[in-house]
Amino acid sequence: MGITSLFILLTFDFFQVLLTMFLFYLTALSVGIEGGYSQPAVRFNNLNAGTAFVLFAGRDFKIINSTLAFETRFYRGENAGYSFTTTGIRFEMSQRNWRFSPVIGCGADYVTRSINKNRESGFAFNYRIGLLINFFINRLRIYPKFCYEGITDSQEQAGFFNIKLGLDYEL
Amino acid sequence: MNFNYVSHSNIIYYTFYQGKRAYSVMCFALIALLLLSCENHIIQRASSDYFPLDEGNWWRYTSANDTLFIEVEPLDTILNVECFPISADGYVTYRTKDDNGISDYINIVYNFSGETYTIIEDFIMRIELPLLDGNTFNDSLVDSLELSGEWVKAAYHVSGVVSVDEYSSGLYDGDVYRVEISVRETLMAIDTTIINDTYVEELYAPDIGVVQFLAGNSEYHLIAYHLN
Repeated sequence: MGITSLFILLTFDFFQVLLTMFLFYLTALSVGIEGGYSQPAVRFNNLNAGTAFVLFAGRDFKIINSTLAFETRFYRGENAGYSFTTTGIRFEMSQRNWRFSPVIGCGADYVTRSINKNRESGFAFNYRIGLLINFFINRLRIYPKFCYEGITDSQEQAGFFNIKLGLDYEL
Repeated sequence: MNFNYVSHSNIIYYTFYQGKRAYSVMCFALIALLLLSCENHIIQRASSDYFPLDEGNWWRYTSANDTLFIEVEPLDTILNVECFPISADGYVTYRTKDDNGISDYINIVYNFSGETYTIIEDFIMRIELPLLDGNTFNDSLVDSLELSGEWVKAAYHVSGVVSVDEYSSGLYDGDVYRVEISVRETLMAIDTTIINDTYVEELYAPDIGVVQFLAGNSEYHLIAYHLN
């Protein structure tokens, strides 16, 4: 990270914003988890399918349901010593009252790749588009979610197909 | 939004208000992160092919007093392994590419009493994949053969170091991987020992291949290439 990065961090006080967002979502209307399978789809030819785990809090804004999520994904490489991990935050929007709801979202990832105890890391921007199917049991919402997730460092685009199962409890 | 709901608690109201404000700021924060990612192209490094081996691909290099034309020829099979013959101005080496790395075909022979004997014939890993800053790797082949009651021993050892560097030319401008490869070839015969050390430094650009390499005292730069 250079001077530009430091300037941006200081200017936008990024961590304060994150804390505020976290507090905001503490008054969430719903909380939940997601887990599933993530398959490299665009580029990433040296990765096997990976796993994804998500914790999120949701709020309703007029006609959309918004979620703030913390997500981590882990992929093993075709070379057994290689791994690729992303950890980051997401904003997603969907409509919980519809049976079939489109999902769109974006976020930021801290990306780590390692081989033989050597490691590279960096930031990436991600975006996603997909579909989820809502099922309700009282306050509990269960949904399978299918989405394409793109990840970019502004120089290169790559992406994954995600199949996840989510549980969302309305507070 | 239901402000009656939040008016019961100043804390909740404050949080709610700040949360609304934070949404707009968050957009800027995401843009900031996008800018951060501009400086470190980790997705490019993670997803690019640094070894585009395909029939018909070629690269042309120039040094201070020489040019070199490298071309990938049609697939061949050696030791039941499919490999790419790579011609460098007519001198052909055989190379394979798999999930673990790039391997070279090695054939060490020994001439004895007018006959040629193969001491080592195998593939050895030249570069471990995927490329990653700081990674080190090595691989060895060792074998021996008894000739007239005396043993002839051969060894071929490859070691390498990977680092990130920057490269700028008319063909490519950006991050590259620098791979330093040391090779030691040893032949211990009945009455003599031959040791041959080689050092090569290669710069790999994403989806191009080698853009610069150092062989002996000559530094070669890529001046043209073609990928299928």
